[in-house]
Amino acid sequence: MHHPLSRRLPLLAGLALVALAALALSLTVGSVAIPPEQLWRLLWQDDGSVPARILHDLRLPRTLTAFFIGGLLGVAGVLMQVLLRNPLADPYVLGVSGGAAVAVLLAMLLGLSAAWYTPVAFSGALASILLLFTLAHREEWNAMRLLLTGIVLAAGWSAFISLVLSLAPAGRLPGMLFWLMGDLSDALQPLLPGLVLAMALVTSLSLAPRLNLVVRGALRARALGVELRPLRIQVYLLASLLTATAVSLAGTIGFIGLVAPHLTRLLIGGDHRLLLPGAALTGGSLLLLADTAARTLVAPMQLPVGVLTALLGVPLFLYLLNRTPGRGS
Amino acid sequence: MSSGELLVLEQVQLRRGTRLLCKGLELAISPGECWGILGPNGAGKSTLLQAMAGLEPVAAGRIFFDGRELAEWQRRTLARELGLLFQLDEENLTSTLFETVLGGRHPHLGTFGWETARDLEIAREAVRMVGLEALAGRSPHTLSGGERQRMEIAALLAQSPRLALLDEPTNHLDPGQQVAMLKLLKQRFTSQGRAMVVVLHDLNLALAFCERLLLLRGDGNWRAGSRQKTGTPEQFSWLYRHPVRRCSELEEECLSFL
Repeated sequence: MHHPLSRRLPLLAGLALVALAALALSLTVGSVAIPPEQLWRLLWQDDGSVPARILHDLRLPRTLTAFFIGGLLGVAGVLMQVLLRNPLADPYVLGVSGGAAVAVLLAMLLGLSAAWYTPVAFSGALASILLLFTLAHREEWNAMRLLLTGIVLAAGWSAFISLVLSLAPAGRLPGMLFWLMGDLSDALQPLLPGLVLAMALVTSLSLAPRLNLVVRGALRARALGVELRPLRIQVYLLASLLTATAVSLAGTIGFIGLVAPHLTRLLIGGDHRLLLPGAALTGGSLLLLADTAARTLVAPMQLPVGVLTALLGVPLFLYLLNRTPGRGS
Repeated sequence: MSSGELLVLEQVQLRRGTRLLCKGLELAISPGECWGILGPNGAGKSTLLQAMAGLEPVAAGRIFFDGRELAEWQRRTLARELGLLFQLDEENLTSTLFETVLGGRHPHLGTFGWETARDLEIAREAVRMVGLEALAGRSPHTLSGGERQRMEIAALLAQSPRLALLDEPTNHLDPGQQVAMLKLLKQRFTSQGRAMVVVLHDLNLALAFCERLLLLRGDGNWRAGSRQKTGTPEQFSWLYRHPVRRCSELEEECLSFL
């Protein structure tokens, strides 16, 4: 007798292949095209040539960073959708990105150098996570209350962002707007998001069997021995930290965290043991493709990748929604 | 308390808001027993069942499983011993009937929750016992109410607890299936040191399957005991505040699937 997941494992492998193809595409195209047949050799052998320098100093770090950040958003999206029992939830719905944005914009307003943006954004996100945690912790961990509190908090941050933007001198506005739209052009540190993603996958896979029961009903999960409160707190903190990492490195990149979970669910089903790694691969591939487009479409100019993910994401999401009438997922 | 009893209730009081549902409830459930809980709507039958599973706090009193108070049990360990069939709550959109039944094995799995060949076999056998093997690959939301109820029964069979707490297991089932499923549940959960408690609305089913009955009136009063003592028309008339008669006293036709 086969395990019900054994038939779907090849689909996960298929997603991994798509991810590899996206990685290869991103590494080969750009201002200097690197022919695919040379890519493999140049990857392992930095011969000091211009293509090799571009590959190792710019394209490889950016490609990996984009992929990992997309993966973080995909995993965070799945976790938020389970936590809030809402298919419309995305990693930003609870205001993590708003807290990060306010902190970064204030840093920009004060004229801090770009090196500060990541730690400042992370602190802002962390402050928002802890604020919501304190607000939600008083009562029972109820999905609806958490969602409403988070949405109100996000609205508060959004008002703050508008305030900072309206007070900012004109010269600083383009940089601020770029950051707000999500931008990967300074994201050249794959190590941090890569490590966080690996940690996230291991942790979330250990939660996956319990998440499978939770989506089938809270009472069922409790009757089968799942302690909901600690599980919800873990999921909230994990999803929020993943989002904080992504936001502090690349700003608010929309739609990946919403589309990747749904797309993956349609492809390989709702079992979180496959869905979580699958959403990491899908999210990574989607963001990578969007980022490749963002830096090549109007080269040498770069578009903010968040604009492209939204442009890709909106029709994709509408298509998915109409393909499955009445299912809402 | 003697060591043979699975579940013991001591002076249990149930409330909903300010309303007293039952007070001073004393009950001892021993292996091999099938208890029926009867009572009007809102009398606290489901609440009592969830309290027995340790999922709802009681207003007063104590509940012991296997000699230890419920609160002292680790939930996961308890879930191997004590199972609950509840009235359908939410549905998952992206799994199959078989995977939902397999979910019943959760308390028995290791850290990363990967089911072994044995777990798969147990779940498959459970699906077969409720007669749903043809629908095993279907998504639960495409099933009829009765099929979903049988899926839930299969999940409980797969969980294989020592004490089964069943909240209206005959809901949505046609009369033939009601009898068939109760037979199946009784066969599984009154042998090998197991016991079951079942909430029912059909008096005839309760009389046919349960040797002991708990009558919850919802106003604080309750009666418990053997079927002979508590299963009479007089007792049911008291319970439902409505005259209950035997079929033999009726002149019209009175049919039964039993």
